[in-house]
Parts: sequence; structure tokens; C-alpha cells
Amino acid sequence: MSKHMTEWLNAYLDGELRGLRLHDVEAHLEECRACQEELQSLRGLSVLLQEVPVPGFISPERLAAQVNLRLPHQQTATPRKRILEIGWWMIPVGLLATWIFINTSFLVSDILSAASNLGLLTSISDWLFISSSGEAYWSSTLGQFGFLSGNSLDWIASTEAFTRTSIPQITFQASIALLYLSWIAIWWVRRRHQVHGKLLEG
Amino acid sequence: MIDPVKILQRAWYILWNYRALWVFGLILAIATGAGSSGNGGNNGMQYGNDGHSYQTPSYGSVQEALKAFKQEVQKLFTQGIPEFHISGEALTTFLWIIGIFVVFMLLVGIVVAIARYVSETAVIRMVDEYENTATKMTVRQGFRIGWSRASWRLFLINLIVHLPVILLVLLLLITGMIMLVVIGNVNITLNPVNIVAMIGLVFLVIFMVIILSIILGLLRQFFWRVCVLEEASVGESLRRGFTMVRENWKNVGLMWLVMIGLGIAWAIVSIIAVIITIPIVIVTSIIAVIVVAIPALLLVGIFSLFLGGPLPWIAGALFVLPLFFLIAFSPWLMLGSWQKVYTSTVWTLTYREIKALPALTPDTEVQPAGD
Repeated sequence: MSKHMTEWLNAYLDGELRGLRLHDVEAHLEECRACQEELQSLRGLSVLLQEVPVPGFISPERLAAQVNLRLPHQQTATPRKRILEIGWWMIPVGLLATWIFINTSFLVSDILSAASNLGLLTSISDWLFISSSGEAYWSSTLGQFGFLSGNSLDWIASTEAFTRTSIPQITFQASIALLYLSWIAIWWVRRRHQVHGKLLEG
Repeated sequence: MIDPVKILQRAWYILWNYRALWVFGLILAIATGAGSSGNGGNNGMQYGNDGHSYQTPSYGSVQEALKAFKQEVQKLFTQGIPEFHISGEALTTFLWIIGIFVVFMLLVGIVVAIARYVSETAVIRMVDEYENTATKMTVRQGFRIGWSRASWRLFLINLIVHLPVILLVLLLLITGMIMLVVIGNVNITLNPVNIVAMIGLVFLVIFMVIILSIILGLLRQFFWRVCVLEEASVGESLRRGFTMVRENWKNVGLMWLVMIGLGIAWAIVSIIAVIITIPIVIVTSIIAVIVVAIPALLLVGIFSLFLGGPLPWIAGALFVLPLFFLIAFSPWLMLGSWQKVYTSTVWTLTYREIKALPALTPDTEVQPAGD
């Protein structure tokens, strides 16, 4: 016989147990006579208590309302304050929307580059400036003046082409991440001030 | 309103004081990728190709290239690779071994997927039980409570949640393919207005897919918790989870914004941590080489019976590579494990807090229900 589960019987009776604990208690009750009797007596007690006339307590809602009435009332926020508050919460949402917008733009730009390479956008590729993204101006200029040649020119050209597309993306993402983290930091400081203020009021 | 800082601090405490959770976190990190944040793993980095040095062939030349490729493959499997003393027969046998490897990896994938949902269930239940009764379960007990119908339902919920995104992406791909085929076969000239409209549409669809996946990813946290903690059916979990988020959108939204910020901070910290732990990874790589050496040599010996040249070594390496990566990158997997456990714990605590809010009306309050 495993250890008695008397400390869980009240919770079991109230239907508060779930999962593994419920399973354990039920399994134990099936084989433990002492716990079965204990449960029975708790049930009896519960029935007895229900039969006792309820004293004239006020309801929790009424008590809360009365306490609320006695508390110093907070000033209702002015429309300007409310707009500022909404604006404050719109900052991270706006940052996220910008992040999604920029990433979608980069993705569509990549799709367009691929479509242009397949010859699907020949009529408007110049108009959309699609083919210019991969070009390497600086390295070709250096090559023309004889500063670079052969493998080193190829290497520098491909590095330039890579950075031309990746640097703006990294910069955008890093900027948004930084702004978002700043918002989180300010939110945290504000929240601390609010909690501190409430404590002082209390 | 819920207190996000309190929840984050409590989750932090649980993470470091409940080590049995780490095991399940490790499984989650292996199954879902250690780096992903849980709110959409894509970091949005795309690298453009170097257009000036590479020209993609046109549709007609792609067909020709495919034909030539087919001929080359046929030649390869009849003549083999004489330079490496590999016959055509050995190459065919090697292909069979690759096939066995693919089947083996598929089986491993299924096992890992099952383990993933069992672990998700276990982590949610273990944290909830810890908060209810302050009792810590062992790994074995965790597996016992994780191995339940709820874990199967989590899989179904995940599938349903991803379905709209999969359908939208499929729609985009199919439309693109049809257009490619039509333009390749029929002489159609698209005017700029059509193309701009098409670009706009593609942009809109991608934008919507990202937004939808973010929203569904957030809702999924609540669907899963209703399913696991209330033992509700899939439909019930979706309904109750949605109601819960709708009724408490301010609290959920606040927690979500904080979690995104935390995700960004984690991404920065994990990059630094990955760099710092490189020496440890070198050590674990050496250990991994020692551990996989014996099974690898055994496999090479077996494959040598049917294959010649470098093929037995390649096949042997292929089979032990997953185990090697698992051991070699275990420090990084551990970082991923902590992130998974922490995220799951935060959402479980948020769910509990929201459920306990007195603002919930009796109609919307989640009631325990059987199937």
C-alpha cells in the first residue's frame, strides 16, 4: 500500500485535481480503505455545511465595490493622454510592420531578380532597375585604373556585389532591432516607475 | 492586467531550478531547430545573387539541359567513374544505400516528430504541475505524462494552424509555375501594367502570409495549452483558445510584444554565446569523432563487401554524420534547449495568469471537459 493521500482528498472532492495527480489519487482510492472512509466523511461534512443557513455575509462583488468607493479615485485620462498612450503602444507594432514590409520587399526583389534572369521581365527590367543590384562599380573602376586584376579583381567584385545587397538588409534589420529593444527598455523603466509610485501611494 | 516581468522572472527561476525540463528542451531543440525563436524562425535575411557573373538559362535551354543531364546520368551508371575505379554496378549499389539512408532518416524524422510533441506536452504539464503543487517530476514521469492523446492533438493543432500559410504559399508557387510554363510555350508579351499589378499581388500575398503566420503562431500557444491542461479536443481547444485570446487581447498582446523583444535580445546573446562556445564545440567535435569512429568503421567494413573505391567511406560517413553533429553541436543545442523551455514556460505561466484573471466571465471561462 502506498502512502495515504489524505492531504489531496479535499481538492479531489472539489474537482480541483487534474492530470497525473488526479490519476494517482483515484488509483490510491480504489485500493485504500482508510482514504475511502476519509473521503466519505469529508463528503458528509460538505453536505452538512451546505445545510447550515448562510450567515449575512455580503457578496465579494459588493465588498469589492464598497472598498473601491473608499479608495482615492484616480483621475480619468484626458483624450491627449489616451492618444499618447495608444501611440506609445503603436510604436512596437509599427516597427514590426516595417520589419515585415522591408523583408517582403527584399523577398519580392529577389523573386524579380530571378524572373529577370529567366527573361520574363525584359520589357521593364531597365525601368525597374532590376539588373543593377549585382553590379560592382568600385571594383571595376579600380580594375580600369590597373589597381586590381585577375583573381583579386574577381574576388573584390563579388564581395562588392554581395555587400551591395546584404549590407542594406543587415542595416535595416539591426536598426529595427535596436529601436525595438530601446522601446522594451523604456517600457521596463516606465513600468518600474509606475510600480514604485503605486507602492509609495500605498 | 497581467504582470509580464513577474512571469518572466518566474519562468527564469523555473528554468534554472527544474533541470528535468532541460531534457525535453533538448528534444525540442533537436526537433524544431535550436535557433528558431518560436514566433517564426525566419530572420528575414536573403542574399541576392551575383547577377553580373551568372545568367540563368531560358526555359528552352533548361529543357535541353535536363535532357543532357539525363544522358549524363545514364552514362554514369553504365560506365561508372573510371578515374576513381568505381564501376557502374558499384554506383547503383551506392544509390541503393543512399535510398536506405533516406528511409532511415525518414524513420528517425518520424521518431523525432513524435518525441517533439510528447516533449511539448510534458513541458507544459510539468510546469503547470509545478505551479499547482510545487512538485518536481523526474524525466521518466515527464515522459509518462507527455505520452498521451494530448500530444497527438498538439500535432493536429499544429497542422491546422500551418494549413492556411501552406495553402497560400502553394497558391503562390502554382501561379508562378503556370505563368512560367505559359510564358515559355506561348508567345505572350506582358506589358508593364500587368507586371506591376502582378508584383503588387505577390507582395500582398507574401505580406499576408507573414502576418498570418505570426498571428497563428501566437494563437497556437493558447490552443496547445487549452488542449494539454484542460484535456480538450482539437476543435474545443481552437474555440476556447481563440475566445481566451479575444477576451484578453491586451494582456496577450503585451506579452507577445515583450516576447518579441526578448527574442531579439536572445538572437544577439546567442550569436555571442555561439562565438564564445566555439572552443567547447571543438572539444565536443573531437569527442564526437571518437564516439562515431567505431560505428563508422564497422559500417565502412560492411559496405566494403559491396562497394569499392571511396564509396564505402562516403556511405559510412553519411550514416554516422547525424550522430556526429548531435554530439559535436551539443553545446549549441543546449542553448537552444534553454530557449525552448523558457519560451514554453513563459506561455504556460501567461495562460495560467490569464485564466486566473477575475475579468473572465463565466461564459468564457475554460471548463474542464472530456472528449
